[in-house]
Amino acid sequence: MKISIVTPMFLFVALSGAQLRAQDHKYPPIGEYLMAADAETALAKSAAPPNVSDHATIKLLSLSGYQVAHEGTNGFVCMVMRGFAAPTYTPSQLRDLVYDSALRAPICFDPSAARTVMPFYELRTKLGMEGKAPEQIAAGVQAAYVKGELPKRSEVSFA
Amino acid sequence: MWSADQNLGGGVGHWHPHMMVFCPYYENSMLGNNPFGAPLPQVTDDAGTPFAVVVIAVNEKLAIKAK
Repeated sequence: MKISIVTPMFLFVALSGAQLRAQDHKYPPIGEYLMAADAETALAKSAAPPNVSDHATIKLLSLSGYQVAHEGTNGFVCMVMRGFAAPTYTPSQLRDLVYDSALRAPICFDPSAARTVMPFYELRTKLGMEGKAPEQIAAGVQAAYVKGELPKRSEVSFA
Repeated sequence: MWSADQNLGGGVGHWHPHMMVFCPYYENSMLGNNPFGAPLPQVTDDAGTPFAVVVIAVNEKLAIKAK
């Protein structure tokens, strides 16, 4: 019962917040998306238990996209996703999270996801950092997927 | 994911620590139509597409603080 009461409020707050930002339709300065390297590394590693993240590759966001800051040994890759990782299609209201420079979503991709999923988020980030709007990001992702420039998603993977 | 310091934006802010499962073409109906934001397995992103994301919340006590 608690879930049914809480969820509509959660959904309302989440969607209305995104809708408010969507009215701007403008990216904040790119510097607002960046972090100090030490803080970003710590945040990225908090995405998974130490037995995973202590041995993972760490990627940090720079003005030229995500760059490897530390090479790992277990095939996992940890990074902090920004608003650019918003949904590509649905929920459509949340696509405007690309404009939210405060969003920080630490994630550790398992080896399979690092190969097949991470490139998708890196492309979304590249397009967002170029100033593309959500619908342009979706078009770019779709085109890259169709052309085989992104790995085909044929299996389940984890983060 | 498991970070205690995540900020998922959009008025959501911090959410439950969670696993993400990349399940191509999954629809939320395949998981019981659990509502968005509930601490239950659900397709949060791009349902029915190659990029569908399933989120599974885990115990709050498992959240990991950045250090």
